[in-house]
Amino acid sequence: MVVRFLSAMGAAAFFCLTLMVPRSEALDLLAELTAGYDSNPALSDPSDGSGFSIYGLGAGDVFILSEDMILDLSVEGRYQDYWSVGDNYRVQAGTALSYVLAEGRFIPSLIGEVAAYRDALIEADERNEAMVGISADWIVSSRLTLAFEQTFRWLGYLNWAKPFSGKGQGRQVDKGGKGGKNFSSAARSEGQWAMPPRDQDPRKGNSQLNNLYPPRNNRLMLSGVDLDVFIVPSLTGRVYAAFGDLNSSLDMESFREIQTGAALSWVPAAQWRVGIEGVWYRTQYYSVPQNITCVRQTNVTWSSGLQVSRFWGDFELFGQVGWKSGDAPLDYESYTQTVIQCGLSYSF
Amino acid sequence: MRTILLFLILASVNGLVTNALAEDLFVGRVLSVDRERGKLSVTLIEGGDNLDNRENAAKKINVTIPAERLPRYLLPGSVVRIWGGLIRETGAMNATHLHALGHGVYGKDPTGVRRRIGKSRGQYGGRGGGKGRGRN
Repeated sequence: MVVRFLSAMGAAAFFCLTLMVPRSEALDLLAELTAGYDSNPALSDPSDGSGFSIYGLGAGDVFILSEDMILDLSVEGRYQDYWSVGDNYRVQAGTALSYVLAEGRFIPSLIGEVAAYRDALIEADERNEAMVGISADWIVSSRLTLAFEQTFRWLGYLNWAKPFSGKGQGRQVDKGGKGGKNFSSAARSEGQWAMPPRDQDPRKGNSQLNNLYPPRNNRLMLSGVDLDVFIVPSLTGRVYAAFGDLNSSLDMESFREIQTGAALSWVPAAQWRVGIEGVWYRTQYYSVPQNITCVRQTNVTWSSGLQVSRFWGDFELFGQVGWKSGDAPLDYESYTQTVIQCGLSYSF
Repeated sequence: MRTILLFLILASVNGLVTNALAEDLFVGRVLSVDRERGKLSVTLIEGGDNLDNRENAAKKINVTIPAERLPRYLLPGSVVRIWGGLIRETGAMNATHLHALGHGVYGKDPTGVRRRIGKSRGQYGGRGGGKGRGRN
């Protein structure tokens, strides 16, 4: 199934990229190699750190359909090879069809994306995704751009899993938070069959958290707004906010989330760039049954990152440090993560 | 020690402000690009308040910028922001920085920080879709 999915996605991307319509000068390709250390790959507490390598490939092209209509296509793959825990990878293809209005001051777009994520460390997170949406960039003034985005994302998970088994949700990896692809129907019939929480005996309470449930079929609505500020020639800022509403096929995992963040991009000298970004988000699980008492319904997470890049022609050498601290809903856990990495990127 | 640090901060801020005052910010649509020579023909759509009436009517300027500072994705029709000094008599501009709208470093991720951390939102794919790539 995985092979079929990836093959279909690759074939679709190849077909799109070779359409006989006017194109930009050349297909834009990107290759990236990164090495670093992640103090907490599973976002759990206690944590097991691991070194890692990341191999990334990307391709993108722009097709000019008419004077004011532009089609933007991209495909991207990223494989993260952890040296002492399970690996993960993500493959995705995206598109944006944009139409230029008001001489370029207002640019609405239809956007879409398909993706596959696989994770040998947290199998409960393995999923396929499809997203459609609209976005718009509005040039308010020479210094300000306001952007809106409204998307609908489908997340089809692949494995049976206990509630709150995803990354950063509080369940320890070695406690068996996964069902896995090989979880058999025979095993399901041996008393672990998961009924919707409302159909279960309320006296069971927290025992519901130890049942395995079928692969989730989730829908995420996301609304966001960004404001870009061009402060001085070498300094650009961005503030953004978003609201997400995830409707999960397992009710207790549904949540609403608000997210806000800010980023600065500074060019201190030719061929150098420094980026810094901070994000805060608050997640509220609004459908947790009242008889379950060991799930924190409101959870707050912070993350920040600093990156320094040096360019030589088409090469970029970068170093980055990232930090994340968050609440995990299950058992009122919390976690912290520090990632240090450096790498080389080549655009051609 | 604190005095030295304060001096360095003030010197950096002073440098930023001095450079900023010497340049104006314009928004325009690209008509043509000569990537090798670092030359663009642009129709202004915002800024350029110091243009006289004749130039404002035409709105077309010729921009020169170091070729290595051109974003990778820059096409006729692209909307760009340009920092630079405009020579009013000739309608020519020497630019120092140029940003292409919507085709920055992965569109919604101008610094690349989120993309490389890759875990800004672990439970789903995050925001944006197919907004191009390339160095801005």
